[in-house]
Amino acid sequence: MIDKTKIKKQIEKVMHDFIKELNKAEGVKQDFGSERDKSTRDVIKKDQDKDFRKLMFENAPKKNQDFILMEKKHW
Amino acid sequence: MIKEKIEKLKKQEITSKQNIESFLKVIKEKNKEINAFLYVNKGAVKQAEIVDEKIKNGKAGKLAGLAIAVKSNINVKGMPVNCASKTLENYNATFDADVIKKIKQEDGIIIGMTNMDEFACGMSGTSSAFGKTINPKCHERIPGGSSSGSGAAVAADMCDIALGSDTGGSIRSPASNCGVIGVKPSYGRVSRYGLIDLAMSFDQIGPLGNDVYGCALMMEVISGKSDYDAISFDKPVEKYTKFNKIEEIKIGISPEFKDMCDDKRIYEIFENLTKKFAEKTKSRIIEKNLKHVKLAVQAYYPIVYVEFFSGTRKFDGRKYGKKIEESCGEEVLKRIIGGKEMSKAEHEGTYYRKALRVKDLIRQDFENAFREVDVLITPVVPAIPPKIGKEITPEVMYFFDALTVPANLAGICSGVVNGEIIDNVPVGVQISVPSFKEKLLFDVMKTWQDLNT
Repeated sequence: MIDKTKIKKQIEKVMHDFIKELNKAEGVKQDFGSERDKSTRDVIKKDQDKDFRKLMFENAPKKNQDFILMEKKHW
Repeated sequence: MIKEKIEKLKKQEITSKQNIESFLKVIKEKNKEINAFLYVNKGAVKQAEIVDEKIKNGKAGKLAGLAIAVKSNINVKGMPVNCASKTLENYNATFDADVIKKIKQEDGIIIGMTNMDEFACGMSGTSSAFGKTINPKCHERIPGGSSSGSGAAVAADMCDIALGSDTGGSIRSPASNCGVIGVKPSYGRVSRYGLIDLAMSFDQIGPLGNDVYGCALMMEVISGKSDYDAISFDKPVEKYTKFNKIEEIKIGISPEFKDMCDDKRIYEIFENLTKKFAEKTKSRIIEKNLKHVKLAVQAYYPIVYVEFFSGTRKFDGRKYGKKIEESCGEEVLKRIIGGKEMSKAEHEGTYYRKALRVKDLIRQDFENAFREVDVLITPVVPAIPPKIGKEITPEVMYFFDALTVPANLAGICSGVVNGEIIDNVPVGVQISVPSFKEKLLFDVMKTWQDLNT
């Protein structure tokens, strides 16, 4: 059984140590980011893959004929 | 090696069927012990027969008849792409990754899916949910990861060429530990479509092989822009297999890498081999500082944790697989919890953005270095790989990642060639070049290989 609380504490310590080191870096710019020309992607039309549906249903944990079953809040 | 084998296949001195059958025999003999493969393609022999017909008709591709092993985080339609995790234990790929489409177009035969560290979260090859991989060259030491199965498969002669993925050293580390060649391409050189991501800012698919020619050939096939990967660049793919002999180049070595190399025997070997290479190629060695490279690990992990957390939200057990938090191993859970913490609104700016800024500084360090040198040559690992069974703590992981992670942060191209053996385990040498200079990288690697064999 993995102890999530222990892991969280471990991670917090590691990240705290990392940030201490990163804060020592000189020359860090205040602004960071990049701009894009378009915020939407181009739609690419492609032929339908005949095997896709069969493989998707094989992968589904719960199904009923033509439906993949997912209970609300069950995940 | 690969070039000679391809000639024999073309002339039908050996058939593709014979090639595949001989590898299947080796896999049957060795895989129980080595555990390089999680899945072997039952249709490989039949596919080989089809390729043999194409060869007879003179219509076969560049990889015709070669056995290609694929890391279990790259989608091969109909084959398990379980990322070595219980989360995706019974999940079969519904499509081919771009790299797989290209391999199949060139008549490469996918012989099987290889073992790895779970969801590529590791450097040891021991955190797979389906058992650890053994280093064929040194059974008591880790093979390296996360492309452990791919490295071991090549080293144990179970395939011609393998595919791995590299986010922080996951091709280069097993290449070094298993004594094979490995290449991490420039970020954006190879399409990531169909790769189950660890960290989208760093991931690249690359080859592992027993010789430079095989890796160069695979890179010719898999490189190029894809409409399905927005960060793949529209830059021409050169003929990497048309090697030029290297002479009179400027070789950079970094004093920071020397400080980070804990086992001085490794650094001594690397230094001697680099000096010999420089002498034989009439090249100059120049010391270049990479001022911020000692912060590479501290910049790398926050970015990886946040991006991995984001990338794993789809593993909720609804359409496929299981809920990841309920089915994964400790290291994967660590990264999810860490990424979740750092992604919280109250931490905005503290971790991820700060790490991105330092990443930018490291990228600039490399850019500045490459203004004055053609290549950088460095060690790959700071110490010989730990023994199997030794606990791989976060500190051990970070320590071993320190020399490979900088290339991922900078987005440059980096390859591993054979170095020497220390304490019965191979130790490689890392050669790095500016982004999209894969041709130069392969020329240097080939010259290195030829001078050292």
